[in-house]
Amino acid sequence: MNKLTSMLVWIVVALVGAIAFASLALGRGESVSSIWIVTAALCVYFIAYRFYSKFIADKVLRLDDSRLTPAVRHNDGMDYVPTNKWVLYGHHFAAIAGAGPLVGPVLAAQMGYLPGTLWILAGVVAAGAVQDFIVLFASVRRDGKSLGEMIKMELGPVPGTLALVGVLAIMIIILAVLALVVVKALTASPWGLFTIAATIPIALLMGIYMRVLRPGKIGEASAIGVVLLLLSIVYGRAVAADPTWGALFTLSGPSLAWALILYGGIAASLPVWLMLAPRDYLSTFLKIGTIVALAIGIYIVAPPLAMPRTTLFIDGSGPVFSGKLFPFLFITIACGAVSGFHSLISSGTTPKMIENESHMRLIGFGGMLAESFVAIMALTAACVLVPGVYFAMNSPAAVIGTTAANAAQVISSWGFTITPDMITQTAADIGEKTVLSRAGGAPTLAVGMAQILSTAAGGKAMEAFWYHFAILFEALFILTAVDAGTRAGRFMIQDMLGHAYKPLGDTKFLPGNVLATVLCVSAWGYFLYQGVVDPLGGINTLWQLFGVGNQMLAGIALLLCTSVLVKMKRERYVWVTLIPTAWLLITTLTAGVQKIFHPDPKIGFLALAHKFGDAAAQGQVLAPAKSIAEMQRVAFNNYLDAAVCSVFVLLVLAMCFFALKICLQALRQAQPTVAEIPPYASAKGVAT
Amino acid sequence: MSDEASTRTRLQRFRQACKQMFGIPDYERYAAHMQARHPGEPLLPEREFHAMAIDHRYGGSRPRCC
Repeated sequence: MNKLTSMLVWIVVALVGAIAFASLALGRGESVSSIWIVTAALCVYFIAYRFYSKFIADKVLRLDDSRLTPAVRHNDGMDYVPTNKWVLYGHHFAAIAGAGPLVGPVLAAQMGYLPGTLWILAGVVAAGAVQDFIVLFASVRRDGKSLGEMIKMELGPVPGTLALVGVLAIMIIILAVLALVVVKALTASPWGLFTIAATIPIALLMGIYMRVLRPGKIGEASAIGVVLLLLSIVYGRAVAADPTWGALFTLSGPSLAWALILYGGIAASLPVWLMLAPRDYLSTFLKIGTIVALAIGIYIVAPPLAMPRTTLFIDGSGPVFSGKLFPFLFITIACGAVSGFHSLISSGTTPKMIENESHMRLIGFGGMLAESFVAIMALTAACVLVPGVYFAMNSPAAVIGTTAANAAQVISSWGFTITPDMITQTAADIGEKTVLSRAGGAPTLAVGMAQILSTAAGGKAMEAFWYHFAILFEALFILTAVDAGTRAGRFMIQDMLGHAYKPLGDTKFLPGNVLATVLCVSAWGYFLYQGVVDPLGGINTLWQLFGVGNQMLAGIALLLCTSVLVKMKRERYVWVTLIPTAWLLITTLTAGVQKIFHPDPKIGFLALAHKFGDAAAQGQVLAPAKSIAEMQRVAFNNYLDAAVCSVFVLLVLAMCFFALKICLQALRQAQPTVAEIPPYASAKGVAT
Repeated sequence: MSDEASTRTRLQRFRQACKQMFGIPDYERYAAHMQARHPGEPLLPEREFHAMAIDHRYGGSRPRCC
């Protein structure tokens, strides 16, 4: 394509994007089609990829295809395999896309569709995609080293250890909050619980099939698994309707929490091939399939956005989460804009499969753009719902009560008119008894998806099927994450215990394994259980704690990227990582400090702890607590949350200090001081 | 190359790409790699290869994304 045509094409893309943004931001009164959100997003992605990622690849990082990648140097046909870039793009995307981009945007929809959309798009281009790309680059140039190892190499052993402690703390919170999402979705939902429970025997069957019966035939096993899963959704309705079986699968929140804790402990102790691997394959197939289906569904149906552009809740008084747009929007939507967890994936399996350095642009930067698109679709699905239904599903019972009549009255008083009939009808359409206070994102997204997909295929009669399909799809990869996360947490804990008492660090030492597993499960189980019994809803607190932690991790990863650039003597371009680092530090430190010290008990942990602690000391019981013991528990948990939040804040401040020190040192040097694999390193065992 | 043979190669390539995308261990690739790069070294039998590949993929401390 000659230069002129290319220029014209990009001018057209920019114009289409501008029109889309204008429709979103300036439309008056009339409802806006969701097509505009999707179109605006796609134009931003194309332009950012074509120009910004090329600038980073050519100028900032100077990717060099003559350097051998770890996949080529260590090619063993098993772990290190040079992989076609489009194939690896799919593989990397499947590894980074989880529940995060589906939950955050749904919660943030309480402020309207525009704030979330703008942050997702600006965040991904300036921060998220840059982080994923440069961490991947750093890891490939260091033989596929992990984030922790790279921090140790470039910043020193103390920051390395601090980062590991931070990662463990964030993982505990993430496991608790993901498990809480599942509990919120499955409480008193026998149909949903039956289908999720069915995945356990299905995974075991698949595991045995692909290990013992027909070794390696993972495709066959997965096909059988998918068919069985669909059957479990179809027959789930009958099971739920049956008086005996229905009652058996109707569990309360606390019972579900215990079931999940028990499940986590057992699942993480089984051999990986028996349950983790088959379930992960199932969930990957389902994940890719569902995301593609949703994208097609949105384009075919083109539903109008029912949520206003912005709502009154940008002032911080929202029922879903408390706190003003700044800084809380930026920690509520983490994944999809920028996610610290990706730095662990980008320095995990993917760098061991990169064939050429230039491929990293597509895989690192482009992969994150695709994840961002998932977040945009989740936001869209939440915003096509009638706002009254959205708030009925996402507000805690302490605010809207437990009956449809009460909820409708409260929500209508906010200006989102809704009748009790509309709430009960929504529940009936999706085959559930109630939709009230199902916070956590998954159920809201599932209702939105069910409405979109049933309009595209199957009609009203299929809505209940699609709802349970969406719940299953989310629960499936959350449970995989719980299983894999518990294992990863166990390894980290064992590693730390090993420093105290050597034998405990040995991963083949059974008592050490058991102890570390129990410690890990109890840690996230504690937060999960407290979230479930929290009268204020749990998600309210835990999701923000997770957001602070996850964005702090992103800040740490970007600090590493910044130090790497400075040590490479590319300080001219250091703004590429410094700007997102600064923004993340500003938003997360503000949010972290507000979460701890804010005088409003709805926002500040300490304020709430004092309020309940003081009242309890005087023998008063404050709603929604029902006893002095409950009061004391609320107070204690808020002190604990404040402590966890302080750990995150102190950790990131310490990392800032170390990174600054290293950068100043490197600036004084005339030569690059990075610890890269030298460019002339050749493949092992191959003479060159 | 006959038409049938080229279709078969294309089909095989497509299968390999799918396997890689979903992270399914590929014995044929491994065997081909061993033959090309390490001739004479012992080759893992298919059953053992799959067992080992799955254990590698899921065994370590590999966190899943949120």
